[in-house]
Amino acid sequence: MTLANEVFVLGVGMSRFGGPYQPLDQRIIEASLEAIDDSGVPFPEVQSLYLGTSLTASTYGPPVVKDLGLTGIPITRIENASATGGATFYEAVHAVGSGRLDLAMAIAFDDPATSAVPDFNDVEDISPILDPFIPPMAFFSMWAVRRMADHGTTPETLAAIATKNWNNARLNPKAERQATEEITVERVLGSRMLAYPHTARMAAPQGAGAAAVIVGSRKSLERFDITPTVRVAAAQAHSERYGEGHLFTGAIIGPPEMVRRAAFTAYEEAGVGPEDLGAIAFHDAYAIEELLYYEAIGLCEAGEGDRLVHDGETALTGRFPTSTDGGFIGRGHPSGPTGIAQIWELTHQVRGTAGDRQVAKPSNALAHIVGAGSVCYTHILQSV
Amino acid sequence: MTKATDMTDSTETPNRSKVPTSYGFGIDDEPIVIHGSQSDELGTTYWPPRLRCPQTGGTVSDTTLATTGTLWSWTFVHLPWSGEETPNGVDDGYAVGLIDLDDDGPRLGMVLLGAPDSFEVGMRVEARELHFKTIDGNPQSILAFERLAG
Repeated sequence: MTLANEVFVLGVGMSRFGGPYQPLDQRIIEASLEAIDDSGVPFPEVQSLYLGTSLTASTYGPPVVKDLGLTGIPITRIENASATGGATFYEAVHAVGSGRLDLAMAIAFDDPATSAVPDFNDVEDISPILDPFIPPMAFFSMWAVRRMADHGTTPETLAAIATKNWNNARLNPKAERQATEEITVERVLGSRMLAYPHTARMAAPQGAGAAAVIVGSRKSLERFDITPTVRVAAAQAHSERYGEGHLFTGAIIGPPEMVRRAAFTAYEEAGVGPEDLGAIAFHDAYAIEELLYYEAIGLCEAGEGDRLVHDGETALTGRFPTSTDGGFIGRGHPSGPTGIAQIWELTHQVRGTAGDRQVAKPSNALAHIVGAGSVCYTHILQSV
Repeated sequence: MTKATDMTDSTETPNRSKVPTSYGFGIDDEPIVIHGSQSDELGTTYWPPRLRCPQTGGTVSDTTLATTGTLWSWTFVHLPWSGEETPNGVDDGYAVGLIDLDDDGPRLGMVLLGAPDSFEVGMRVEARELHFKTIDGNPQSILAFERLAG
């Protein structure tokens, strides 16, 4: 599905992920007010509200956002595992892109500490919802072991990706992981082993967080006298197709064919190619994912991802800066809000307001996120 | 009290008291039979059994799958195995693998038996039943794979 009408990102906001304890209600209102202030649009003008959460109880959300205003608009809760934030943004974007609305707001949030559903990496908790013996970290680690056999990838490459993301997070005041000193490959390799070859520092932390975004039509720009900076050039939602090696059980994310299809459909919608991307947000819950997704979305040919890492092409100063806010590994992955945190980061990158982690101002930026099951959302933000 | 899972500086293994009890459908006691489905139109086989063919939406028939295969990949998970005997003879985790069954069969994710350093991509494996008691004394049987004898 493509967008029939132009959609613009008007405002973004997010709470710090993880960090000192803060009630989730406060994080939600903090992120929402930041997005409202950033947009210049009064909340009563928002025509529909989409709430993304994958871990909270079924009634959580609508009562919290009463603090923004009781305006009688539709409020819809959305859940799609790790991709919940991407799904929530997608629905808001398509509500405007279809011409049905002029202004929509997406707010996503979660607090794993008060989760109403199991911890997917806890073998006790996940049974019998998911494969009880193969938690997500095992699936991704098996991707990594296979990659090592096929292409000679080493744990050092995975550690280099994680190190980049940890150090990018040091430049992001809203990231969960705020290391006080530069993280090294050796330190990543030396942390506790989760599932070979992934160590704990190659995996995402799961603190609480909230993020929000307001999108609007061209008509809304005129109505509120807004000069647009960021356009949503593509908004794609995909799920798996059956293919060789498909798994029907467990928290599977893949195969990467779904990621490739979502990205290349997004390129077609936006009229760009991978070579036009100036910043990329990935679903890097485990380091192997980022490596495989480089190739899946076409940043390089199959088997060349390792070179991309070691040549620094995915660093902030590289040709394809990736996970500029720290990604899942550095910024954190509360679950629900992660996809909108990606939009927060890429909006700032496209605007040129990303502070110390600003890359060469990108004309196009891509946000990629997947969810167990499996689903994939890909958005391309474009400078205006 | 936060339940955040960033424990990068911890050397302690989380303390868990039991192994999940719900796993594995389509296994019998002796001999091992892995039940699956076959697309009536395409002939493709699937595991676990499906209600309809995921490629055509058409009907499927019950079938039995090969009990031997090739290890597509593996890993060793550093989470506690709380049965009385561990699958790999060590206390700090257990091995799992993705197995491509013979005869163009489907890929399965299963526990692997054998020493933690004995696995390699491409090795031949065969199905075994793993019987164990959970920490709270409940008997459990799951399908597992180990290196093909010979």
